[in-house]
Order: sequence, then structure tokens, then C-alpha cells
Amino acid sequence: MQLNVLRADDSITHLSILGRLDVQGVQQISDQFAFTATSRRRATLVDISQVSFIASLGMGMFVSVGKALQRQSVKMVLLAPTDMVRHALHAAGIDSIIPICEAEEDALRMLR
Amino acid sequence: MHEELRLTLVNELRELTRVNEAVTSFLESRGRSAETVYRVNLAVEEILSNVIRHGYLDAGHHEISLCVRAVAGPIELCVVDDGCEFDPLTAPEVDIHAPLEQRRAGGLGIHLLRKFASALHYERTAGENRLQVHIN
Repeated sequence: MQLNVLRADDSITHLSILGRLDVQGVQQISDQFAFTATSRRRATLVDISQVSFIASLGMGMFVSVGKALQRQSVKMVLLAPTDMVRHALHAAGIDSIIPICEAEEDALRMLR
Repeated sequence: MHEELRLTLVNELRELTRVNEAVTSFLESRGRSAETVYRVNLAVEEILSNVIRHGYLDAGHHEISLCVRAVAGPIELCVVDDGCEFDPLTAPEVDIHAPLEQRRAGGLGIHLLRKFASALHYERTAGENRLQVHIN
């Protein structure tokens, strides 16, 4: 499980997550993810194209951080999930509260 | 070729990695699609993590059994544990249409299980929970 900071400037926090967001994976990165995303108080783009699996705890992690960012009046967008991860996110209604984009330029436009 | 995978695990979350690898290998070797493998692994993850995290009042060692059957038709799962009585079929539904500020971080596991299962059957017998799940 890996969390990378791809960009962190005045306008955006761009992160990527790699691996399985199952119980073990979430335990490994949830604190770091929450701190990295919320401490900067910037629009947050999370590339999940390399997430091969997501279970309910992983979705809960996104809900929790999404709510914290919303309280800061900051948006979060998830970028480029695989078809199966997207399907799971849709089944849990995550895509109705946290936008999901396929292309980075669309995501950046949504975050402005 | 065996059409059934039987595993026994202890009530520790680190066991889930071994279970996932075994279930994936079993289903892939029987030609099941990546989508089916994903759905089955999601159901197994949600059921077992729920039992391990919430099922026991003591810190002792408990065994949980998992059976995966891959015959014609849906994949059949059966999980038996000796934890607290818990019927996931009666658990309250989460509101997945609520706005972000009203969402809870938890509670999605059973929702996902219901969503991806084509059939669910629960019974409590002899001090054990027995949950049977069909996944298409």
C-alpha cells in the first residue's frame, strides 16, 4: 500500500494511492492520507487508478476525508478508478457525494 | 478438480490477506471472470472483517470457517463463526442518497454485501452464526 504526493502547491494537493484498499491497506495509509489531505486545506485530487480493490473501509476513508475537506470549504475529486472499483464506489453511492473523473483535466476544472 | 475451497482462519485481520489470495487462486483456476473474483473477494472481506472486528466480546482465540463452492451457477459462500449473534439481513439499511455532511464513514459493508449477493441466508444454531451467500 502506498500513498504518494504528486503535487502540493498553493492551488492543489494531488495524491495517488496504490494497492488494495482493504482492511489492511486502509490501516496502513488512512492516518497519513487524512493528515496529508486535510492539513493543507487545498483542493484535493486523488488518483486511484492503481487501486486494484476497495472495500467498505476504504470508502469510509474517502467519506471521512471528504467531510473534513468540505468543512474547510475545499473539494475532493477521485481520479480514474478501474471499472470494478468504480462499480463498487457506485454501489455504495460514493460517486454521488465525491465526484469521480476519468481525465485529469476534467478533475482540475472541477476543483477550481 | 475440487469444486470447493475450505479454509479455517483465526480472528485476526492479518488472516484476510491469506484468505483473499486463496479465494482468488481458487476462482481464477476455475475460469471465473475478474468481476466475479472481485465480487466474491468483496463479500468475503466484508463478512470476515465484520466478524473479526465486532463479533467477539473477549480477546481470545476463535476459529472462523469459510467454504467457497464453484459449481454451475452462482458462487456459494458459507461462513461459520462462534461470535455474538448477528443477522446481517436485519441490520438497518444505510442511506446512500444522503449528502456528504450526513454520511457516516461506517456501515457500508453490509450494504455492499446485500448489493452484490443474489441470495443471503442466515441462521443461528448451536451457538454459531452461519451465513450463506450466493454471488453471480
